[in-house]
Amino acid sequence: MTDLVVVEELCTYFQVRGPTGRRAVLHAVDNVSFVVRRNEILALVGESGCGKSTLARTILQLQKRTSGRVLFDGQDLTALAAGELRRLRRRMQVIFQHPHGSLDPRVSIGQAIRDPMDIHAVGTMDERQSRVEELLGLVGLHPDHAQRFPHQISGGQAQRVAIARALALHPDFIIADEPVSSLDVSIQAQILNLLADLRASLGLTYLFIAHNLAVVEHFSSRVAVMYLGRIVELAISDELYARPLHPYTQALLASAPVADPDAPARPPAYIGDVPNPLEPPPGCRFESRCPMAMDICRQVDPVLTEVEPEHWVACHLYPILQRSST
Amino acid sequence: MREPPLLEVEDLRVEFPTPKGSVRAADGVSFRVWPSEIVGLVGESGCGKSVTTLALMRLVRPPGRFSGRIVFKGRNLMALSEHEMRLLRGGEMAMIFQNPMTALDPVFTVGDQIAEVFQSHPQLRTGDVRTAAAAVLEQVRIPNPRAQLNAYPHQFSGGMAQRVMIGMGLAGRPSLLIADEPTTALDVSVQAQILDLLRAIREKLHTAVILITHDLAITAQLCDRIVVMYAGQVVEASPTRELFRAPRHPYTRGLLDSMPRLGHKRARLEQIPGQPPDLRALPVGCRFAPRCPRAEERCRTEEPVLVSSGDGRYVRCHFPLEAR
Amino acid sequence: MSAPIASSQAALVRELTGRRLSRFRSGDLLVLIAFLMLAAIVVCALIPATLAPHPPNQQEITMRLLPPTWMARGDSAHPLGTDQLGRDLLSRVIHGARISLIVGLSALIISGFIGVAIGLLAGYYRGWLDDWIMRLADVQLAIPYVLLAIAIIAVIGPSNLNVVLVLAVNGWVVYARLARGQALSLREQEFIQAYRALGARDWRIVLQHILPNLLSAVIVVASLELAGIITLESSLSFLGLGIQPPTVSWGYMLADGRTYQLGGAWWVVTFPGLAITATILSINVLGDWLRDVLDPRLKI
Ligand SMILES: Nc1ncnc2c1ncn2[C@@H]1O[C@H](COP(=O)(O)OP(=O)(O)OP(=O)(O)O)[C@@H](O)[C@H]1O
Ligand SMILES: Nc1ncnc2c1ncn2[C@@H]1O[C@H](COP(=O)(O)OP(=O)(O)OP(=O)(O)O)[C@@H](O)[C@H]1O
Ligand code: SF4
Ligand SMILES: [Mg+2]
Ligand SMILES: [Mg+2]
Repeated sequence: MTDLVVVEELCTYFQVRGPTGRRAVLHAVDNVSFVVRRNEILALVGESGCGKSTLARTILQLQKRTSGRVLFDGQDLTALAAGELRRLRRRMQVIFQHPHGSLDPRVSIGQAIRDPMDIHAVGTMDERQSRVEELLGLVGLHPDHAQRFPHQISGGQAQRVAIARALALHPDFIIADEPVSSLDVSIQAQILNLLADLRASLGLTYLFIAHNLAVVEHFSSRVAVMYLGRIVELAISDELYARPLHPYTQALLASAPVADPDAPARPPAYIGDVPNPLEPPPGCRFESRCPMAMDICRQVDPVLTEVEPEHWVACHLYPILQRSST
Repeated sequence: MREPPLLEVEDLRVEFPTPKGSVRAADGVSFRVWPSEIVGLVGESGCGKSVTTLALMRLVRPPGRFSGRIVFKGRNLMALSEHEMRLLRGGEMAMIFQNPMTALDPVFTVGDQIAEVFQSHPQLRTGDVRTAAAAVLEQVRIPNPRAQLNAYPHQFSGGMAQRVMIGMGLAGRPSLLIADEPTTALDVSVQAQILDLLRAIREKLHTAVILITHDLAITAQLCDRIVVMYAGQVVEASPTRELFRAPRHPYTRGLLDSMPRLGHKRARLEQIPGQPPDLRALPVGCRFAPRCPRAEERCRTEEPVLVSSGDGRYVRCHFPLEAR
Repeated sequence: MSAPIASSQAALVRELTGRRLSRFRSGDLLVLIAFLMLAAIVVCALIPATLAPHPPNQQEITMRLLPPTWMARGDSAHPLGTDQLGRDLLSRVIHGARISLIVGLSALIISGFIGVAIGLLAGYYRGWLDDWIMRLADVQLAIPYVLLAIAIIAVIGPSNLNVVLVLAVNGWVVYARLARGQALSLREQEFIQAYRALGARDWRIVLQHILPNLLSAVIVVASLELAGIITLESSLSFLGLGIQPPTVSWGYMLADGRTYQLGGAWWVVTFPGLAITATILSINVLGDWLRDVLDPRLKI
């Protein structure tokens, strides 16, 4: 079986208060399906607030799903008993988005890294201790950092603690929610190289959420692009960067900053209103900002279809292109 | 640059005592910021960028200690009373923090937290507090601002929380805005909008910005000058274009080389070998020497000082790279 | 009251936005004074008979309502004067320490313990448990406490133990609401999610990560609540439902002396009042200090 994680028609809705104080439903993740193949790095990119972190939390069953299924190595996580799920968590780990937020302010760094081993009763006390030291070294921290508390380390150091904690139990699958965005480029390179090495040596699989498109291009095997709770494009990384199909992906790539002071300043790629997530438009969700919008876009919600081998896109332009080309 | 600088920092030192010796988080940091200038502050994670800027606002908390000379608009900040400092903060000097989620208090609504700015600086608003607060959200492009005032921080995505922070920082119409990784949690298009916003603020209000970031591409696009820090010290300061074209400090060079660039996929990213030094046991000579490809005997024994090479460039290195 | 949970950053932001730190920064000297004061009170509670010049209930009708020694009619045998039955006030204040401390602290601890436990569970698990408990709390808050106390005492009868129970029953709501609110926001924090993602059991998360993070808020509230408990005890005494004579408590002394104070005998209520104030103040200061000590963010 090549698929480690299978996400089927997953939806996560939140009950929120709307503008006038009445209840409304926010479709944070809306009918999302995809697979993560064994040993691949699937990157997830998209506008902030489009539901990437919610999707990650829902896959891990940290957030109740509204509907849909998540299979991990053939087991339906949404149907597992609490105890079984807890045991399975050893194999799937998460690195959260906010480095300081994901550490208990009252737990020292050393203890934080040790906690996963304590929770799953892995190894003897000495083994745990030496593993903590090993992990600190792996992510480039000093053994002395173990005694500090989260407020005594910098953001990047906190992020590395979170990475070390996620690696502690030798997981198979790691969801990394912007793991390197608070690191300087040299440590970022170090961590990305480390994650890539672990993937090669231990056969790890990653779901990698990131905003930095250069990092994604460099690091991922495939890329999924999300917009307002939906996946709008999914393709092999090189293919996506070479030929982005969805207008949103194109806009995204166009607004990525380039590291050249002489390059012209890149204007925000698209204007227009961000659609209200409480009342998504009936047609394509990107329609209000899309330069290519057609009539059909306003009425019919496009589905994610494979327009070319391994290249999926949810946009009315493409079936039309194909139809007209055949 | 003819005008007097807006901010002058000289020999700023910040120390945190720990059981195993003091952490010298900032060790003799000096730099200047001119009015309506955008200065990038970059460097190794943990090198003291955040701590330096906290010290500028006199927000280093005990047991941390700090010293040095900080002159802002001709006033010596070290001599101000706590009350005068409080008036400055959030008013003429504003700060946006690194972690949006922890910088917002989870038990208060977003609206309440924005309203606080106006309560302590009432001169800033014209209409009622809610309208003013909604305007803050609108300015940073949060969809349906009025409704979102009632939301709690955990109901916001990381990017939205960051925009709230930016909005709060700008509410005081500061002449200096310190932004600690303001776009780290944002996707590139919102990021582009925020950068645009910062540019516009600079044009309209002549706000100077100190921008801490790890994304060198952003500094390339936005900053007039860049200050590079390593292990608590400024190692290079230079106008942006020159820095990117010809970095002079080997560390800056290492940084630029390890940056992934769009459209240049490499099998493996370059990385600077070794680890940054422990800030409690700093090496004798140059702090970068253990990792530096150019290091020679002199580097290990004698500490280099920050020297000007004219043309607005400063470097702290015995054997700086030549301009190409 | 501010929530000290989030992080030092939230506090920093608050400073940035110009709001004064509401927290009273207790200097070390203050802590020392508070500690000595509380120690003195505890010593009184432990060995009242050794310290007091007279037995607490010894009446001398001829010596009724004597003012403190330094006043015109004062008597050197009664440094703080006497009450309407000629009992020595100093001795009564010293003897009162025991029961006041026992009643106050045990009511505080019991209500704190129960309230925090209930609030934690409600906030962490949400659902019907939460609805049910919070409704109960609302109902209880809607009933005037004296009415509630009278009802309970009427059923279980007045005794010192029952006074503690009544006070505890009255107090739990505050803690439950506080703990619930904090647990509600803590459970959404990433670090709690991180522990769930690691596969930690609920009890581990609640006891090791949620409880310690809300304890500081609880301590602050508890030290403020003590004042409420002692006043409540004195109102119960006033109604004859509190500590039963001949046991002396400060609350009882206050209640008992109230009418004479109007006749000019201010000392009858002032000294027990001062004792109460001293206790409350020193516990507040120590509570603040304890919270700081428990906070790793403020440690070196
Ligand atoms: N607990 C919650 N209650 C209500 N709404 C929520 C909750 N959590 C998230 N949301 C909403 O769901 C949407 C998606 O949020 P999410 O955090 O998944 O975004 P994201 O894609 O990770 O963004 P970012 O890149 O900024 O981190 C947002 O509109 C957010 O406001
Ligand atoms: N309260 C403290 N006690 C001890 N050490 C501290 C404390 N606060 C910060 N430090 C140390 O001071 C150094 C500088 O921290 P700072 O937060 O300024 O780093 P930074 O340059 O902003 O890094 P990043 O890019 O990762 O945010 C770090 O090595 C950190 O571990
Ligand atoms: S002084 Fe020496 S060691 Fe330091 S950066 Fe320059 S060449 Fe390298
Ligand atoms: Mg997110
Ligand atoms: Mg920082």
